[in-house]
Amino acid sequence: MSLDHAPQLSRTLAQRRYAHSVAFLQARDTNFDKMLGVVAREVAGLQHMLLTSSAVHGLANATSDIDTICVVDGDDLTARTATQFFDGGNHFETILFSKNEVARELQRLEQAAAGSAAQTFAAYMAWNKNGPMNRKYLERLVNGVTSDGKSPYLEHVTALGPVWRAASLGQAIMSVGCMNLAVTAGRGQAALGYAVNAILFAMDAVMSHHGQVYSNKKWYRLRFARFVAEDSCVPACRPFVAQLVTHWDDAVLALRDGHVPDQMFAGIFDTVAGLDVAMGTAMQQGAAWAQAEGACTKRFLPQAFAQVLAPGTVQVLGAAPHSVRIGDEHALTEKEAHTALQAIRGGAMSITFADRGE
Amino acid sequence: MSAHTMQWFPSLQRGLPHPARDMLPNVIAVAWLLLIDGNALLEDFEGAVGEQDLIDLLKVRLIELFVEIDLTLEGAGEIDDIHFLPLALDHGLHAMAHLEGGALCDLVAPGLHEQDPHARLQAIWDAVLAAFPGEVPNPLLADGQGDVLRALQNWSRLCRAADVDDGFLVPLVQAV
Repeated sequence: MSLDHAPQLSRTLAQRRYAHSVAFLQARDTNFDKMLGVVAREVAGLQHMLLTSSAVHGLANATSDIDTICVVDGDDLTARTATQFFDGGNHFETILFSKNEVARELQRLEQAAAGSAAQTFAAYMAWNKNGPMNRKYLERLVNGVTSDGKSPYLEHVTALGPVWRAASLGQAIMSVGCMNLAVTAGRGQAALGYAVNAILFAMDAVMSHHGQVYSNKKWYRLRFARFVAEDSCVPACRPFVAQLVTHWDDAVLALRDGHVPDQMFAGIFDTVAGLDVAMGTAMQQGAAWAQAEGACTKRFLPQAFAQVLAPGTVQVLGAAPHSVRIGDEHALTEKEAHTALQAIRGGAMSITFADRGE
Repeated sequence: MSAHTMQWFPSLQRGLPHPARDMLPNVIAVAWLLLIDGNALLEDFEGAVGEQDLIDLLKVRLIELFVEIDLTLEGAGEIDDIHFLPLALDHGLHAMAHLEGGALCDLVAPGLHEQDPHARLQAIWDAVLAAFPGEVPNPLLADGQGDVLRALQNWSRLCRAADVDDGFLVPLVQAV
């Protein structure tokens, strides 16, 4: 499903990113031309060298990596490794993709974005197994900046946004589900850990909904602070954005002092559910934890069971786990909730999102 | 107990024999987490001076990395990373160190306002590296790449000598 708030993909965004890139390279005492000179000596058929990652998003600092992607003419590559180049005191990484590979992967991205959010989530999770360009590099490609100030693949951010939104919202829903299980199981500290993840993934889902896509989790909070400061959030998401800021402050305080404010967990659950409605993704309704494909339950001892998992792994549990819908966790007993949480961690249970066929 | 006096990698310090098919993939994966993820994360702290939002999240990432190392050493390296922080807070560390969740959180101190936590955390990281067998190479340094490649060659020879399939090294070679 597409973004209902398509970002302004004008030259302005590409220009702003180019300005960030030039300033970053200058601060490192290098520039696009010097880097191109180093790369062109080693890489045949170079069509584009794209600067990527924190530098193009205006987030890079003194120790940030210099990451690049090279798009080359020719057939599909049979071997591919990320390569380090050294340019004076700087080192930068590049990885090669052929023009054909890029075209096919961008087409796959458009297809992934066209389904329901639940289908898009499934496509995201399976992405790395079905093509040569893993998700990290796909995001970098779309957001990458070339030496002539262009972002040749930026138009695909209208597909990248929905895919990353579904991925992060899906992980936020998984996190609030586990948070509720941990609360029911009497594992307050585990619940706090899941709460932190739910908040961070919800932040990233909102930013992706606005076409601001960047994979690296370490930047989520700083990017979100800048997103809030820009004040460009669509009205439907605005209340939840403010709630996420409060939840984050509470959660960080709880990490420091151990004090979890009353209703924090319930508030985070409601915020994620509200965002799901505001963004029109409809993922949470019908979402449930169910026995994973390939897993089976066998008796171990009286009142103990073993989950035999697909890759030849066994997990011993104090009870047989049962399916549970997201939002219904509080109906479980403490032991049932604890068992479900263990089974989810071990991979014996996995999330299913109802496919609403949108 | 400070980071310097606590015992990191107690199971490796005991030096007990283990089945090679389990031990080698696990301990090599831990070395890889130390040399790739760990070195990069510590470098991130160095660049994050004054950015409290970034620092707090990097501290969360450091706690997650400790748990990932702990799980990998125990042979449970396939667990989804959304569980790392909850496991850290609820159960602490068992294989990388004996440390309860609260103590681990106090050690890394997310939420503590520090203008520049790099030096404090680097000291902890140095103690971790010192307890791991051998010198862990740093690929972020100009001469570190060769050290990493030599380590990969050694690990491949070691696997063959121990009759262990070294296919798990392929993605590591591709990542260098």
